[in-house]
Amino acid sequence: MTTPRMTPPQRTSSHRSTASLGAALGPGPGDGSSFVMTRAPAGMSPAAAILLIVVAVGGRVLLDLELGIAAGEVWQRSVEVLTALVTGAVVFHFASDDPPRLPWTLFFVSMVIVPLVRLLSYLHVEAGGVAIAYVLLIIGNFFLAGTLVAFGRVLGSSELLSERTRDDRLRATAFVATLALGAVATLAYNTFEVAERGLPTTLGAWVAATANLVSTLCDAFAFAGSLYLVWLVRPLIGGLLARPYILIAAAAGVFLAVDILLVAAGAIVQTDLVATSITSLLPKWLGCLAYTCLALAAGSQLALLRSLRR
Amino acid sequence: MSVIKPIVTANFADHVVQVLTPLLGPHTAKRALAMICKKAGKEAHELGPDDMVIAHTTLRPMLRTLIGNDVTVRVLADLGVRGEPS
Repeated sequence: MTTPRMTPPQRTSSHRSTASLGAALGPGPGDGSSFVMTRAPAGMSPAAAILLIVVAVGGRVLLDLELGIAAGEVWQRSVEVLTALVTGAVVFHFASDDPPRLPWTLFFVSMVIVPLVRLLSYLHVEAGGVAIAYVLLIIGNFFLAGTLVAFGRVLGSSELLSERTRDDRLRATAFVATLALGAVATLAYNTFEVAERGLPTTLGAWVAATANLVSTLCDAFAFAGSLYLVWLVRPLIGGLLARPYILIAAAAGVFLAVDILLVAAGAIVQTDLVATSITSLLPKWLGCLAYTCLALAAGSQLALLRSLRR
Repeated sequence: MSVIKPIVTANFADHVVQVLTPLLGPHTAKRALAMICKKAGKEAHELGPDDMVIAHTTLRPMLRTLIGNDVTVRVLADLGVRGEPS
């Protein structure tokens, strides 16, 4: 996943622009001596990331079509566990007082909850007629939403990214307002779909309906929040630090699409979905894509941290 | 085994941008340089090795917020790596 840490960065357009900046700066007190950069931060190459996405999602599709849904589900559970493990590894690369540790810890907890939800859902664990998996799903969604808030606070507090003009603030407000409208529309659609099936009659059914709506609400929030993160880190585009946030935003967008498809199919979690056709398998494949993007987000952060720590 | 081929730059300002660009991207690396210039009260071409301390104190809190203390120390150490006079 990582490239050797002593390898200098490739000559990209950004480096060419740096060279021209140096030329423009002209001679100065630094003349007569030279500065040496011996260690360059390394990240996962885009080609490797695309290959991993193809392997992860392609594996799920192939197994579903060739061996059956059960094999595909096992494959995706592995992707989900891997995502949790890589996210956990990122957490332990930060010291306890490092600002990024909190959002990565929240992210890790929300990723650990996913395999637990799958397991409890598979085992049909209930308490008082309430599926514990749905309760855990609600908690996990709040952790994911909290992750985005924490990332936003950390990134927004760095002076390097927080210079904002009045125009910037106006643009950001308009952008977030548009997203909020989209989120409200999505939530309204899902509420309508859930309500159309009639009011829940048991506590368990109420929890299931709540889980459905909370999931959509939190996914919409996570999607909007992750796009806000991309807006925050847009000055970092071209740098390795921006990659995890871009991948998280991509995953959040896919999760929102999965949520809409699940509600349309009358399911709450992907494992509830009875797949009978390619169309009904689509949410599962998209879910696998989303978790792969999250694994890559954590993987790219981990690769960066490891390349500079050695 | 990788071949070690250090990047050598003759200018301190260029070096700062060179070190920070892979991590922060070209735009933010130049912005970081501008912040160092502002704090040092100098133009970019006037910066030299004597401004290393200012560069460190300017960049440390901002980088620590983004990537944590350990990595920040490593990146700042790279700013201090100096080669033979050319």
